Amino acid sequence: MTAALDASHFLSVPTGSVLLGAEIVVRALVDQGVEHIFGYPGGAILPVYDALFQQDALQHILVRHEQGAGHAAEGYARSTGKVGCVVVTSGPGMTNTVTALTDAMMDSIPLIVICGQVPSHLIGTDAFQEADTTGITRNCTKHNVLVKDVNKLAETIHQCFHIARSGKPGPVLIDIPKDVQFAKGVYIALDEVTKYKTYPFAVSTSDPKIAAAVDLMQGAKRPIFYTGGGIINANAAHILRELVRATGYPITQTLMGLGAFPADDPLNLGMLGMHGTYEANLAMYHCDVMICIGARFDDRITGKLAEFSPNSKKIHIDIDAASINKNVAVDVGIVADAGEAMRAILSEWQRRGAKADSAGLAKWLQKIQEWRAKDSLSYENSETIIKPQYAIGRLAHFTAAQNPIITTEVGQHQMWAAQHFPFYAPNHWLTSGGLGTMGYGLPAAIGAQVAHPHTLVIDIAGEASIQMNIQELSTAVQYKLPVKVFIINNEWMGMVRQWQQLIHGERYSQSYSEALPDFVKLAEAYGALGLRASHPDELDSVIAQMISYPGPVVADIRVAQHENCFPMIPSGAPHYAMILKEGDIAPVSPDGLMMV
Amino acid sequence: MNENQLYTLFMLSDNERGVLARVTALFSARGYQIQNITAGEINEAEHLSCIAITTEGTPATIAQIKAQVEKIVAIRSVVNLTEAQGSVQRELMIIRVWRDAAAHDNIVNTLNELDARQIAADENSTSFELTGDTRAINQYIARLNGLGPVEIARSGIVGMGPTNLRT
Repeated sequence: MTAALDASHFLSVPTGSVLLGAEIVVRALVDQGVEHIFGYPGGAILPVYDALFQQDALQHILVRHEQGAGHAAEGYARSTGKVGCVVVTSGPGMTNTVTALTDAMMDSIPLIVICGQVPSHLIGTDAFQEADTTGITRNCTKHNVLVKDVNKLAETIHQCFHIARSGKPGPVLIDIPKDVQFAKGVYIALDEVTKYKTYPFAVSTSDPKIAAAVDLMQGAKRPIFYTGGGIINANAAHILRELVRATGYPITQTLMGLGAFPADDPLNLGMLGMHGTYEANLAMYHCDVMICIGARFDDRITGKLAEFSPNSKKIHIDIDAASINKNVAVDVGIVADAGEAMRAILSEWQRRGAKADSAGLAKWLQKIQEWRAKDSLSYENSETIIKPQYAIGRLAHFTAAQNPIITTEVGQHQMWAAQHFPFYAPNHWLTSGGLGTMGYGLPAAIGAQVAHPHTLVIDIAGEASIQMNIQELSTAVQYKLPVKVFIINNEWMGMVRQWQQLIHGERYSQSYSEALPDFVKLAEAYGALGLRASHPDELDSVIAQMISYPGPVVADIRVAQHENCFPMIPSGAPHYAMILKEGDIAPVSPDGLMMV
Repeated sequence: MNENQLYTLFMLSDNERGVLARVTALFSARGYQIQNITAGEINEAEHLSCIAITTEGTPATIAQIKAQVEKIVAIRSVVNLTEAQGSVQRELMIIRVWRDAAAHDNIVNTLNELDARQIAADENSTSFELTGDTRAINQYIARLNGLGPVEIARSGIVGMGPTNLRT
């Protein structure tokens, strides 16, 4: 239909033409290159749905709950690098997106949420399905706006896309009263509309801070790259790889940064932080020069702030000026796009013919090797019970050739997935890092699958988390999206149970699900394939069936119920106080008890 | 260096619906106090407003607040008036004196000494205005309260950075 549109169709008319507000919305999205939008209709957004009906340049994916639309758009955005788009109605439609907006805000995911509002003359009257949308979403959006004039609608939408994707990306909400959707106004193309500023992030090799960074790096005896999701947002994994190769320095990644550097590279120490590897955390503690790129020293990473990497000089590259010196004071702070800054450092390094302190570095890598020999991710396997780590390891083994996109929910399974599923490429690991949103994984997988119809997309889930957005299975079935839900089912809210065991005197308050659905029958009820593995002998064949099935699958993997996620830095403890296994547990300090 | 101190941040912003709410929401979300706040449109054609907020914190906290405020899309610039050389700050106060107050004449004489300007009068009261920096205004209030009952209102700080910020 797109090709056959007549010249008067709202997608074909030239800029400056008069259109309905609702048509302006759809036209602006199409002009922004949007191909998919996730949403749910309702009274206050019906004109936009009417315009969506009359075109097919833009495909609408009907979710089952607006939170699902938000996370699906996040999964879409994170797996493609594009802006994820959502359309919802007023009131509850909008409030249901608040968790996803907050999630996107914390993890710097570019989203556009188009939201219907009650007609202008009813705003403030407690009308049906009215809510103070801009008020409610103010703290969980990078920007939000109520559009009251249809002639400003096109310009506003284009500006909002610019805001969502520029600088530190984030969610932007556009609230449009129903009368504005029905009103006629002038459509303006996206060309010249951006009067809004972006963050000032220009750097070059002449910037003295780049030279200062290289000065520190050059003299380092115990260096480490500490890298995060900012590198993936900047589409700069390839530059990171060049920089690491040029220096020969070891590297660790945050949860959000996994995939930017190949998991199997000898210089890769894996993930750091609360459930990171022993070698990564000890290297962070003992390093003399830390090069932090696109990460933000959050509490999962630093552990006890007062004892965080006490003897290192720190370089911090972040696109967000407010991230620098926020939690940890650094010696060189560079406000820049991660890719541009790394490129500048690399060229300065090469211009100088800089070399690592080879004797110092060799000794450092030797020390790291000793820490690595602790094999901190090891676990005791069983021949009779499926260990969760084993299940994820087998999943990784059987899917390696297909380079799958992995999403997760939140909890133990998420940490085990981060530890035991190796990533080799960016944009293949989608997880709710900052907000820690249970219910993220399935809709995010749907969003990723919409963007990558031929890629294997797997949600590694927990039996508790998956129930928070299980309704989206119906979306997967409707659109024939062959997402795989791999449930690590231990019947407990595992991370809650683990903390209750270790910190709250084994008082298991409300963390056991005494009633759980039969996930196989549930999958079948939705029209998906349900599979179950209860014994290690069944695991491989269930994984094989899951991968080969052409539609959506729920695999219920019944795992050991009381397995804990190690290694672990107890809350409020410094990196060196990491515990590796069950018996090592020390009492948590009073300060630590307060931490989450 | 690490002691709390009062600072005034001066912002130029797009005069858009919700900007002030976004700024104050940022302060409450991140646990910062607002000691006083003033805002007003200064250029209608350019939709330009100014906002001044006085807050308490260490230099590092103030630097963090400034960086956070600068991220608000509608904020064009932020200056720390307390630290910027050559910036100016003023507050306005209004004082109403009741004619039947015992200390009426004494209060009015004092106001005249302070060069207060009479701005309104009726059969019951006379109102005056005074401007000055925050320290001066605090001194005026202390002095007047010592004389007898007066009604007082103050504006909070209006300020201006040292250079032309409209770049």
